[in-house]
Amino acid sequence: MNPEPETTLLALRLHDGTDDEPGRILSAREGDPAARAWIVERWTPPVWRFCRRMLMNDEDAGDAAQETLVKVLRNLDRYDVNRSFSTWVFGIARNTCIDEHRRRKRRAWDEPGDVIDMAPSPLQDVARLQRAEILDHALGQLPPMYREILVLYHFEHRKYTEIAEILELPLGTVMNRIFRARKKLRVLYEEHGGDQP
Amino acid sequence: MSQHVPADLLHAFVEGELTDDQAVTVAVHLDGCPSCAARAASLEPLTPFFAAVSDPEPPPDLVPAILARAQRPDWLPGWEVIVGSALLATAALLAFAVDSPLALATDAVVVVNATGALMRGVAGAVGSFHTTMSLVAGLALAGAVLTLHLSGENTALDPRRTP
Repeated sequence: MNPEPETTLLALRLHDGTDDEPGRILSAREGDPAARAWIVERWTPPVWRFCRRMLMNDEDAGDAAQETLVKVLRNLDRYDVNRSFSTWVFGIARNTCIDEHRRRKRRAWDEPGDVIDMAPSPLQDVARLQRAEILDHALGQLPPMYREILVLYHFEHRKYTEIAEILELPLGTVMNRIFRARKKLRVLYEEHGGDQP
Repeated sequence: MSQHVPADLLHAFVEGELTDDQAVTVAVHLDGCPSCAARAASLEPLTPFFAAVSDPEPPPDLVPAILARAQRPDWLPGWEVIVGSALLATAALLAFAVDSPLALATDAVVVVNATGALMRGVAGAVGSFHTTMSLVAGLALAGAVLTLHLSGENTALDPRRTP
């Protein structure tokens, strides 16, 4: 059962540490300019990166990131404090990217189409960087519906359940989509000259 | 799933070979178990390359631009400018078409209200009081010049005017 809104707000008020996001969100909601600026500074890089990877263009990414952060600030009072703030922000970023995508009349968004703890040698590093470039290029070739899921998981380190919330899809659909996305990416990676990973 | 995911199940998960229900169960476990999540990542062949892809950096002027835009009112001139413009147009017609003190008094009220609505609308769009005032002053000046010009023409056309 969700906690009472008043209780949650009280808990947010008690969180008033310098780096504490819930406390700053609450202050920003009450109009504190420093807290609002903190939200923009904290969230502009990940939002811009997400938009850049989805729209594949610096200018479009700048517009979409700006639109997203302005929407975030203007709708802070609509943010449900029982939800993750990052999930809410990425959800807005995603919808903004979809709008931008539609505005530019690109193809439909929903069209399908134990860690090794070993420092690599310099030569391995160069090879890995080249492979990373090929991967980045291959990622750009994926349809948006597959790209967004991989970007959120592998670059923005969102959990599967968070991705389901951001995309407003059942977890089963998300898992299905992410498996397909990885398979397609592997094929594209090899087509673009990446060797068998 | 309270225990860690067995290796064969985790491999099948990464390869997308599980049923939907199994995949969802494993995914929920991975979300809450960093150890199994790391093992799953190590089984995904492209994981090291994802880690090596450099993050693009946003332009340095983006944060100030967002903050500046967020300070401006959200609404666009919308209805206030439309209503203000319509009222001013009506006032202009009245001023030239009707020649009675009551109509002129009504006209003055309409002009005052229309100017107020226009100023609020333009301030919302422009976001700067000084720019708005400059714009309104410019419009007022242009209006005064036009009025003088038209009144001069009216006088010239007036049949009662003595040459």
